Amino acid sequence: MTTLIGPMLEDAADLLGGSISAPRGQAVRLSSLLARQAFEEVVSELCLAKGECLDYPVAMRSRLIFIRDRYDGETAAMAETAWAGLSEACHHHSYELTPTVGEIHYYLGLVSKLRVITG
Amino acid sequence: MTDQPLTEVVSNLAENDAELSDLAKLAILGALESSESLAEALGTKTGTAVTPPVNRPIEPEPVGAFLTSIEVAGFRGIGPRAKLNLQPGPGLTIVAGRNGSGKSSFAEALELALTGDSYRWLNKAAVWLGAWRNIHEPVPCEIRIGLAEEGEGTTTIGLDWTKDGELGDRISWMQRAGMKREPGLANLGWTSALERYRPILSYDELSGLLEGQPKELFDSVEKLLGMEPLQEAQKRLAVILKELQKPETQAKATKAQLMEALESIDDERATAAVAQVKKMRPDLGVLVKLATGTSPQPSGELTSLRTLALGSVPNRELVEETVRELRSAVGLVADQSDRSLALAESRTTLLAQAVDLHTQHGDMACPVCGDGALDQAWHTRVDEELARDNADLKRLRDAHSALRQRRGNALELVRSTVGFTAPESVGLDSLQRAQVARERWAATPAGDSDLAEHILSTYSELASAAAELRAEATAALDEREDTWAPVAQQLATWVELKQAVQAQSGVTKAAKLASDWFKKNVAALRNHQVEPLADGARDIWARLRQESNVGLGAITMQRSGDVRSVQLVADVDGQETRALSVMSRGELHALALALFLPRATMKASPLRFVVLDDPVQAMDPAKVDGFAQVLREIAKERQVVVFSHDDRLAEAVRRFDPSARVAEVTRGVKSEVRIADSRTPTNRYIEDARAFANDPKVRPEVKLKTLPGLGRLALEAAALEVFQSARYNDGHDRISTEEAWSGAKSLSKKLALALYGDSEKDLSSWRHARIYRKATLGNCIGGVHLGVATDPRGAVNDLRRTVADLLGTR
Repeated sequence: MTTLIGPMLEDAADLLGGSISAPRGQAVRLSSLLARQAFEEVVSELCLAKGECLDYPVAMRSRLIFIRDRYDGETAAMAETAWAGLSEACHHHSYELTPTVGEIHYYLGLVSKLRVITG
Repeated sequence: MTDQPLTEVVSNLAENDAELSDLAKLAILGALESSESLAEALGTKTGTAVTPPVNRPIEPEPVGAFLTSIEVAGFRGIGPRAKLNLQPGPGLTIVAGRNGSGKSSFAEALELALTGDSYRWLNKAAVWLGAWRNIHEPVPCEIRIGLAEEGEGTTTIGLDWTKDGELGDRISWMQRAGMKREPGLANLGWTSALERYRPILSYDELSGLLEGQPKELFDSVEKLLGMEPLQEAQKRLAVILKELQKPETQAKATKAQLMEALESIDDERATAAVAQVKKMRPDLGVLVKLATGTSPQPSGELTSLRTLALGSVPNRELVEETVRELRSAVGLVADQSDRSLALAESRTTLLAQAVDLHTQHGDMACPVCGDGALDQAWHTRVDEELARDNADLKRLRDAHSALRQRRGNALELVRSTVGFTAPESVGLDSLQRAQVARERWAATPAGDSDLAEHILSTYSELASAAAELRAEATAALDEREDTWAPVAQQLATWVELKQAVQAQSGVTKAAKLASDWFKKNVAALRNHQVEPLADGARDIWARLRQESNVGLGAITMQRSGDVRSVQLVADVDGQETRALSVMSRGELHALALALFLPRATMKASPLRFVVLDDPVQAMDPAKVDGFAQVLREIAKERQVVVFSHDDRLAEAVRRFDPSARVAEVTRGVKSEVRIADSRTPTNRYIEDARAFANDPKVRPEVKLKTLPGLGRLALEAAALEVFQSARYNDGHDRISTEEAWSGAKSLSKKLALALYGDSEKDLSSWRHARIYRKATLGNCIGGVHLGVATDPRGAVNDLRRTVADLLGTR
């Protein structure tokens, strides 16, 4: 599982950069999906690193609370931000605009930073 | 940001500038202080007595203050009284509300109450004039701002309007704890701090800054940089320099006029003056003499005219007297003329010798005739005759002597009348007649009677001609003086100006030097000052820009005469360009924030709060996150209140700063505004704890390990809230408050601080007074976690009640 995080993040970045082609207008959305998958893996690792397995079906909110309790505020904030941003990006909203490439880059960046924390 | 006052920087710079004279240095230092000090430094005190020492109220030193509440009634979007409570102390509060919820009315009320007298309101008020009072409930109409002032305690600022009062009719007052109300806000001493640090920033203002006139941005930034003292100093120098240069300016301005006047008149003084005035360094002494008429003029028209005007002809009485005396002397001599003086003298001499002969040799025959005899009888008779003859002779001699004397007098009289001369250029018509008359008068005949006759006969013509000449000369002289006098006046004034210029040339030079020094150095200082601000701005921009490919480079202030602008260099993917032209609206907005936040949070500012009204419009989500982080940084030392209609900011802030509070403003019917203060840090931890406790998928052991931590956070947040409110409302300062808080290492000590203000106090009685408190503190402090394991929901409930009790002690 662990080994998948890296490739997922790379693919997500390549989708954004255009080196992996995607159906027109879907690159950002696909990239977000990959990024969210990677993020969920990273969260699992963050929890495991503190000795607990809080995988599905434990709610993401509980996991984030757990992370806030066990990690520093910066880590918790990054996790919460990435989660909030990527959840938004992975759904189609009738009134919100599709996230920009830059935004997803930003979230990908957060996930990468979180991944570094788990070692 | 450097906290060294700019004036000090300038003083040091001037002090060490070898090119400045000592007087110029003194002038610079004086100018930085006040007009009086400048005048004193230059020694021109008497000259500037025009500005009487006004009793200018000295602004009291401002003390640090936090906001505790904003209470508004009948103003803008707020009808019935609504109160927004704020937590005093450093920390971030988001006041969230939809557009039209009334949240901005709080911000506007605060701004009006604090800065209503400042010029910025003049324009803003115009937009509002029609709608400043709430339409649903216009009465009562008032604003109350609660402050926690360091060293003072709670202070209230009030604005009141009467029933029909206009916006400008407000009554402003302030009241410190236990004191009487004072009109106005002067005693807060915030006027200049508010203007300089601008802790209240609204969206309109921010967007206007970069989209408005370049010089407005320049002026705003310059104000931020604290350049005003320098500008003031420059103004003071300019005023005094103008004053000092006044004589020179006036002398210059009047020189042409003076030259024209001098050249237009036909007067040797004018000619002499022109020669001097023309010179680079005219001899003022000579000019003074010319102007005042004390100049020696050995020859020339004026002297001639003056001599002629004085008139040197003897008067008639003297002439007639002299002639009469001459004639009487002539008559006296004529009476004796039957006797020859010479014969009488010879005879007397002969007889005297005969008497001597007789006296020496005795009687004898007369040696002259031989007939007579020289005897004693003869001797006696001749002695008598000789005595008589001598008396006659003396009379005759006297008459001749008198005649000589009188003749001399008469000739002297004639001679005393010197010739009438004047250069031809003077052009006197009567001169020739007078000269002819005088020549005739001077041509005296030899005889005494002829002389007398001559004098009498020529005098009338002479007197008449001389009188005519005198009159003409006087008239000519008057005419010249009439023409000269005003020019002389002009000349005198000009000379006075030049003398003033000379007298103060050293001072003027120093003032000019000082003024030029400022001009030269202010630009450099400005950019030196802008550097830390630019660093702060770049730092904030770096966090705000997120996805933007625009980096912020150098920020320089440019001023050339009246054209002033701020040059913001941007770096777009490595290419340098002008920031303002490549930035989107949202980016401009973020940039304005980046520029202004560092100043609002300067250490020197006594205003411990920063209020931002709707700062995140047009920002994308990533920038909002960046902004939340920026706010968290600022909130470490400042009370940051952000009014926002954008929920993203509230969310981002909650993620990045768990200690942030979010108050929600909602507006019901008839402008009834409510504030829900539910999203406090304490509530947030309790909510988290509850969510965690309620998640059936989380294993009990995990709950057991996690919930006490969340409980501790909730208790700690509540304790801090209680402690801060108490401390700041009592007038304590931030540093000591923070030290006391961080000094209480354990949660029990923090709770003791909150409950008793003393970290060493025993908590037992409070703890044991309620069973849920005992359970909660057992869980969170004592490590007795049994309840959590068996009934996590119950434990969270206990926590909630304990926290409520704690907060209730506020």
